[in-house]
Amino acid sequence: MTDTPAPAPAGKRRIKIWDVPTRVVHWLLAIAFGVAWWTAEVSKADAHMEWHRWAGYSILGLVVFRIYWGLVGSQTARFSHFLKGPVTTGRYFAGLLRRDSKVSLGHNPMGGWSVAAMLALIGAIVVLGLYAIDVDGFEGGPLADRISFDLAREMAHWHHLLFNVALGLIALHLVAIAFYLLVKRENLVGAMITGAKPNPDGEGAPKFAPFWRLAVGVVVSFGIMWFVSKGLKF
Amino acid sequence: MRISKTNLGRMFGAIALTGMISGVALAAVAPKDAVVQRQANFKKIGGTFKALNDQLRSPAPDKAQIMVLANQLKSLTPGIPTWFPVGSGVEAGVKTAAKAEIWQKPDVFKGHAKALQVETDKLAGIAGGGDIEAIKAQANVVKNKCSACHSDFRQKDS
Repeated sequence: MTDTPAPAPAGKRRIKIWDVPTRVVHWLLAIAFGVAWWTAEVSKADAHMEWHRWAGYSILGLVVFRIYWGLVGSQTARFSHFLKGPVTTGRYFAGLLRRDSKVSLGHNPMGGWSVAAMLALIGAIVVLGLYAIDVDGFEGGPLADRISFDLAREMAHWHHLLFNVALGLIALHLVAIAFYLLVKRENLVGAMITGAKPNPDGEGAPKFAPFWRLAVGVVVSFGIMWFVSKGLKF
Repeated sequence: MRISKTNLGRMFGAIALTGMISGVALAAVAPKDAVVQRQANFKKIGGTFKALNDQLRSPAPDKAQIMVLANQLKSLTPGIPTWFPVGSGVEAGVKTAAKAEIWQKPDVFKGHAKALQVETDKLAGIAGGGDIEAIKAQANVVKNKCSACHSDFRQKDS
């Protein structure tokens, strides 16, 4: 396995945690979110609304895939693996500053909820965007023709409002990453790039999903993305 | 609106000043009400334009409906210059995206409004012809006239 670097100190053996789909989806989501932000907030050129829509469809496809992967994907990508109850999450939070707190195999309980919140929020932003219209009644999402101008304007306002909430969540995400790097000496960005993490507790390697499940998920996600971009019409 | 004697006097004075052609009603309206009324009017324009664009982008556009909407736009746009009585900017105390430049450069502002009016007239004429591609092209011209004014005279919005 190329993911295992040669000599590592005892108890610091690196094992593969994140599979390729989880990592690729994460980084594509970050890129698409950046493109969507730029085409809407920075550049006000009308031509960029077409790009904005495509960034949105891409985000939709990625979120759909990530939810699918959260249900039937590899072990560390599954919701059932990283969504813990309030007691476990609270205990993890309380023990956060202890030096000996253990490195989680995959998402820690707080990171897990942050993934869920991020997916829900970004999914909601995309859905609102599908129904949104600009103030001139000209540029909008592919489903805006199904609702009134006033309602579509409401959608646009919520689209923008939730985007700002997402910015806050992303900021928190980055602060958490910095905290783990500087205080807990755990490099989460590296793990999301290479897929590997030190495994001090010697837990067994997670189970990874077979390729056919990935193929099914990609086809389904692209299908939904395409269908939505056509305004839910064939 | 509450009508008191002083208000009534002011109203008649205003009517006498502005004459019969434009702003008979608006001139006497409190600035706050003018903003509210203006926003309702612009929403009417936006809603009409959205309905028109929905038709133009539909796989089976309703040409009769397009004509109705285009004529509705044509009847709405000439009112625009009268929707901005002096005092109905941010100083009116209600949230408005209208920039002070509207009253600082009234000629430029009115030029924009006039240009829009000319293009919506054309749009109504072309809509009568029923050529969807031609109507689309003209709707695009109208859109650009909206944007031209908005970029200089309206506060950036979400």
